[in-house]
Amino acid sequence: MRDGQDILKALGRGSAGPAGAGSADGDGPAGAARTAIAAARELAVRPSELVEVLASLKGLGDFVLIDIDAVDRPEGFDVAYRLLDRGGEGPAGIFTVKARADRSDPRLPSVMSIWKAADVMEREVWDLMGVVFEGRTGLKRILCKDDFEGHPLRKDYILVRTPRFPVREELRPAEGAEGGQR
Amino acid sequence: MRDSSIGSADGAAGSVTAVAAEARAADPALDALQTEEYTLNLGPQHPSTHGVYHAKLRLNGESIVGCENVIGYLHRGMEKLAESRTYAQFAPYTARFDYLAGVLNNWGYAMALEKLGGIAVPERAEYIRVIVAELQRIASHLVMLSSMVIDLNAVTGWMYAFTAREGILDLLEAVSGSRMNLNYIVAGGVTEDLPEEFEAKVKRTFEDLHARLDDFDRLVSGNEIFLGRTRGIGVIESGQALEYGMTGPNLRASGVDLDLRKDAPYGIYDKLDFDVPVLRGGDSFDRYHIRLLEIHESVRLVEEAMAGLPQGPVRTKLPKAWKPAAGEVFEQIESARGIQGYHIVSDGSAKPYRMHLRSPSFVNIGVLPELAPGLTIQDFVATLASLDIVLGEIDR
Repeated sequence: MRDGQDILKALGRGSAGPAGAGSADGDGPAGAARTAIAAARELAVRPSELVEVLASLKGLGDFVLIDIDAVDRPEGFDVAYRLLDRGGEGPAGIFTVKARADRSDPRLPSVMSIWKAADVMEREVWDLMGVVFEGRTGLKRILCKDDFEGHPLRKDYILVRTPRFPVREELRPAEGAEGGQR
Repeated sequence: MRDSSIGSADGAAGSVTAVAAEARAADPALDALQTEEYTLNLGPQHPSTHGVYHAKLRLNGESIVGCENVIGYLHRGMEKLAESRTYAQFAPYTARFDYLAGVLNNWGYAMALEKLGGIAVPERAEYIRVIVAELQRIASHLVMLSSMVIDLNAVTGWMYAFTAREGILDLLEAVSGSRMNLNYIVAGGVTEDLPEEFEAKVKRTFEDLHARLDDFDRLVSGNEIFLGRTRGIGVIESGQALEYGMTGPNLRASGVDLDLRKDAPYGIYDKLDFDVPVLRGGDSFDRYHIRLLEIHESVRLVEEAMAGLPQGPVRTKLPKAWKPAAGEVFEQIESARGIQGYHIVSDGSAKPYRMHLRSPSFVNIGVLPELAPGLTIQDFVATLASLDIVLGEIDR
């Protein structure tokens, strides 16, 4: 079911074991990986493989991390890492690496050690979706205020209308009084 | 350049340090003097931060030793709002992300929806999109040029570029009825055909634009004070820019040739002939200069698209209750500030299950905490201005 198996193999990862140095197209493992990537455009990995796979992709030289975002699904949080494939001589494009974090206790390894750009992106995903990125410092809120409670982009986050002008308790009409409600 | 009286008086960064070094050499006891570090909040209510950007600076005298980005003051929860609106209802919100380049936001969103629903776009609409989007890019770059020079106290230059921008906004208004928050490029094409006499209007506006840009160029680009304050200030190396995921003119000013219009063409960009300016310096001046060069390329693109404009319909009508099949897309365009990407997840209903915007400014400012230490406050202001941030898309 995981269609990225050939990419993982070409990168020397995954269950298939390291790719041999003498791969068929003569370009070595990097060339084989580039071919497989050009065909797939997307790759799903286990959280435990994430850092290794992204590091290998960075090692190919043309990939830049440009975005991380997450989707809250009943099965878990699908976190997508968008890599800009600068394409070398060919056309540029986006290559997506996806990892699924557990719904009840979402945790993924941080990729900040690979790309510094991940800092603000991981903070955003943690702030809005509540996915914890492990192995980094400074994981704090970025768009919501520091004392905000909850993670607003989760599907189970309940939106509550906050009064624009908070009413002081002593001015609030007594229970059952006429005309108190708008 | 710094030998002249004006250059050295203004290039205070170098001279203050030099004077301090001289004084220390003359009197070794000065080395024992310790100054206390202090915190300066630059923004969020400060004109040089281009909105509600807030930098917490740690300072040692005039020099920055630490910088922390504080953002979120304009967070409106747009991504959450999208989940409770239909696809068409959310379209006008997109122009409020990057409010200086509204129609480019429209385009990214429309492209994502078109891919999601497999909608064809009429050829005339594709040409009109390029015309309007490039006009918008010119307007956006003009704001960058003018706000950068006014951050460096050049009020005259600011007026020149802003007046030129007003001419472009008049064209956008003629097209869509709105100066800034356009909702013109929609899924399936554009809302309306170009107005009558549009070509003549564009021609007149461009004549005016060229005259004003020439004046602006003469006023600012060679100005000794401007050069002293921007040359070699806030240098971002190409490797550093890529490490921080920077895109757009800021990346191209650091010597990386990457423009989606050329490298991954969308719309009809592959049929048009234009150049992508790339500069090598990576300093504030190059980031300023590349915008000036890009405006000329955008003018070229508009003129080319005008000349090749085919006849035909401009919009594929969608049903009122449009429900794309379940699935997800990520579509990206080259916005005025870099790669803008929309991630839209559909569950088959009339509203998106999830909508996410990859905003270029949000990622671009990530480099500041590493770039700022060593700069003085006035250099930091110049560097920030040259990065051309828009808080609407940073905070979303």
